[in-house]
Amino acid sequence: MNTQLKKGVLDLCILSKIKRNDSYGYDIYQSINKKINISESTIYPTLRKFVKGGYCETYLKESQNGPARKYFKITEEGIKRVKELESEWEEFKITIEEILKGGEHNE
Amino acid sequence: MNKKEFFRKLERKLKPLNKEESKEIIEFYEERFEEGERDNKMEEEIIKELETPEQIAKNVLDRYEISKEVEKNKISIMQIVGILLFDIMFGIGIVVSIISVMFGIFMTSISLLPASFYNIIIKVEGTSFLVRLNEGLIGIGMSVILFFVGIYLLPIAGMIIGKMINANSLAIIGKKVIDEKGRNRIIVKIKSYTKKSIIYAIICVVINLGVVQITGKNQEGNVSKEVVEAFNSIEPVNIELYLKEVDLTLKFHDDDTILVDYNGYGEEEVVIDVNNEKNIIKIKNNGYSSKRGSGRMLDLSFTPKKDRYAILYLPEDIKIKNFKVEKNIGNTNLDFANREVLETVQVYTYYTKEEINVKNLKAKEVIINGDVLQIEVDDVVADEMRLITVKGSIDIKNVKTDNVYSRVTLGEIKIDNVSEINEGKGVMELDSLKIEIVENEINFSKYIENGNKEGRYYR
Repeated sequence: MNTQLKKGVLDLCILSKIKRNDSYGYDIYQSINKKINISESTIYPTLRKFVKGGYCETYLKESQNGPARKYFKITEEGIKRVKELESEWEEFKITIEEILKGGEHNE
Repeated sequence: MNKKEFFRKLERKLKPLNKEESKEIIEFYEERFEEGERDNKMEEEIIKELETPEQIAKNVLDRYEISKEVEKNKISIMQIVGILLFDIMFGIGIVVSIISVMFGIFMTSISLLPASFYNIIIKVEGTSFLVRLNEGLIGIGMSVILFFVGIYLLPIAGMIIGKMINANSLAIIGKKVIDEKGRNRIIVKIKSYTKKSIIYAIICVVINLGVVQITGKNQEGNVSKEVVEAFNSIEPVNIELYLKEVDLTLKFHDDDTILVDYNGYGEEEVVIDVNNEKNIIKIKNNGYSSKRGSGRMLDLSFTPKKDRYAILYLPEDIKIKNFKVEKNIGNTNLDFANREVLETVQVYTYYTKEEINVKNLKAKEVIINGDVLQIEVDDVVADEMRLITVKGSIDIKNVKTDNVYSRVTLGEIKIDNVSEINEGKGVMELDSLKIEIVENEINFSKYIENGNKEGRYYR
């Protein structure tokens, strides 16, 4: 998959993952990396960006083995943002499909 | 690479970010290590899973480029003004101090030049053209060096400010002057130019010093002087010496000659004026500093002249009436070899930190007055003696006198074997031995043989 495209949808993937349930950095990375190959180092700045932008909040949660983890939790702002991104994605998807279909017609 | 190194590298690579940003990324990775450790992985394994610190930093920075653009506008004008003010205040301090030092150096170098040329052009008695030329060239060489020392300071100031500015707000302006190797173009230019000039100036001075050595040697032959001046008179004669900046050693010899030795800095020729009509022998020079300008301050060929002396012939049947020495810097050694002075021997010195030594003298009155470290009187017979100095010691030994007045403001007076001329006639007026000391001690050891009375001194 194209890197630029990946970057664009990465925000959506991460945010909706957090929206589904609170999660910590490494977990987010792993769950996304299973589906699309991304580099770990792009996840962390993105998470930070979300916190700064007010889409996420963090809290510490004790774990059974090892020190507490920093969990990310979606905010109202974040839910709005997910919706925005989702509709953008839908639009994008439709546009691409149209282009692809149109392309077929033109051939 | 272990965990520690990994974080050290990462931290270094993340430097372009601000502290908070890079700290958060580091925290993410610390947590990431914890995750690995939960799965009982070794440090090395975790590091293998991760990208290299370089790669991480690259990705992170890429990612931030986007967010940076948003944040860029948030840097307040006040912040920029603050940084600028900081730069300017520091910069002004450094620039002002360096410029004032430069100004001082420039002025010195400029003031040296005319003096150096003056030295070459104006003929001064007793110096050859070659010597003057060299002295002048050295002066010019020195001023060239000083001039470039001054110039050299400017790029240093520039460098300091450039560094500060480069590090802070005006990075863009700084970059224009910086070449591909990261050097300041202006500084590089001035540096190379300065280097060449300094080398040239040093070579000039070295060559000149060499020539001075050679010509200096030639000069030594001209310095010594042998004059035998005969004095013919039946009347007693006055001898007067007015000498500046020389060590004077004067000694009467058995063959009726007087050796007058005057070595030192007093460069002017010593004039010996034998006046048979007025019965005066005058020996006189003008000091070194009296005629020459400030150009001599840095004169490297400024060495004492040696082996300079004159011999006077004074038949024994000619009595000496008065003997007088007036001197400034330099020692004074007078050995009269028991030749009698009918009236007064006077030694006055000023601006001197050296010694006056008078011995083997018979006179009516002896006056020694000078700001010297030591006055020493040995084997002297005189009706009256006045020995005065400010600081130092007065050493009186083997003296016969009726009346000694000796004063030292800060120092000591030593008296050893002093007796009265009229001793044996039963007259010992010890009230006449007046010693005045303002500070320090007095040493009365053996001060009057056979005497049982004490000297009086005033504090």
